[in-house]
Amino acid sequence: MLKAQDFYPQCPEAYVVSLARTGDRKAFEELVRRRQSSVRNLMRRFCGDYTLADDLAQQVFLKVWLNIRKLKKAGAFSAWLRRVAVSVWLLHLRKHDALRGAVKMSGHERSRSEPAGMVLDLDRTLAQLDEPDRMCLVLNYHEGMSHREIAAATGLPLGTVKSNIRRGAGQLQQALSAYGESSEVDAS
Amino acid sequence: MTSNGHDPALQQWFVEASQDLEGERITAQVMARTQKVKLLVLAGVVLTGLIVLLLSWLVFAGPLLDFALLLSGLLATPLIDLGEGWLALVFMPLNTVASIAAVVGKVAWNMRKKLLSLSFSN
Repeated sequence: MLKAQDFYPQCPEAYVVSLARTGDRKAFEELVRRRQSSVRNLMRRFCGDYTLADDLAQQVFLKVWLNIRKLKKAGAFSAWLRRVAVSVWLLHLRKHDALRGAVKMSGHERSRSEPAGMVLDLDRTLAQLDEPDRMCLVLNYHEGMSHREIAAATGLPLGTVKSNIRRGAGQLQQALSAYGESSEVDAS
Repeated sequence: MTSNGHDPALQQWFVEASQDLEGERITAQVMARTQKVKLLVLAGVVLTGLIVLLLSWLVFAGPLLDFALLLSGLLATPLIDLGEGWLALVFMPLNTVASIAAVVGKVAWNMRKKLLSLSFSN
């Protein structure tokens, strides 16, 4: 007989989501396995602290587990998961009062599993941006969300989202050109 | 600029930063947390049920007891007054409201069965 652990990895995601909505733990486990990488990457871009990112990712999946029955269309899981991730991040920010700019991310508290090179440089550079700029930029570039989707997910006005992305991208481009110059120097 | 207004170099930077992360450990941690939440919810439901039961008992125990006494008194009421002799003792199981209620109940049950069998045969 085919076991769940052999069966679920071959199933289309909409089917696994439908099963998870009925309370099937194995199906939910499969969803976590499939989506953990994208959620953790998103959280890593948001906060730059990989241990915190993993903890936030766990909170996202816990929230998904508690609310998945409310999801009406299994096909909408991907967008819904992203909204849950954004809401968990916003909740974390509110708790730490970070949106008011009182606390800037240090970008130094990293786990031992942190990678080097471009990933680290991107996260370091993102850590220099203001919280709302970083969030909008990450959602736009990393998640591919449109300006309207970002405005809906974050509750920020559309104009603010656009200017946040423009400002954040500008700062990141400067950092990227500096990165390119320094790597050319290293190479020579 | 790309069609979605993205700077290609920045876009490439984000793409390269996205790693395929090993997921067995975090999956196990998430499942352990969901199990804890499940147990907490279950404990909450049981506790709430017990509290509701206790409060209901405190509020309704007196009136329920009164009602039970009234009902048992009513059911034991004799239909025909046969006095207090041996005749009254012999007919006591039949000569009560309870016996009439039992007979009516039995007849209603039989009629229901007959009606159902008739409707199925049709």
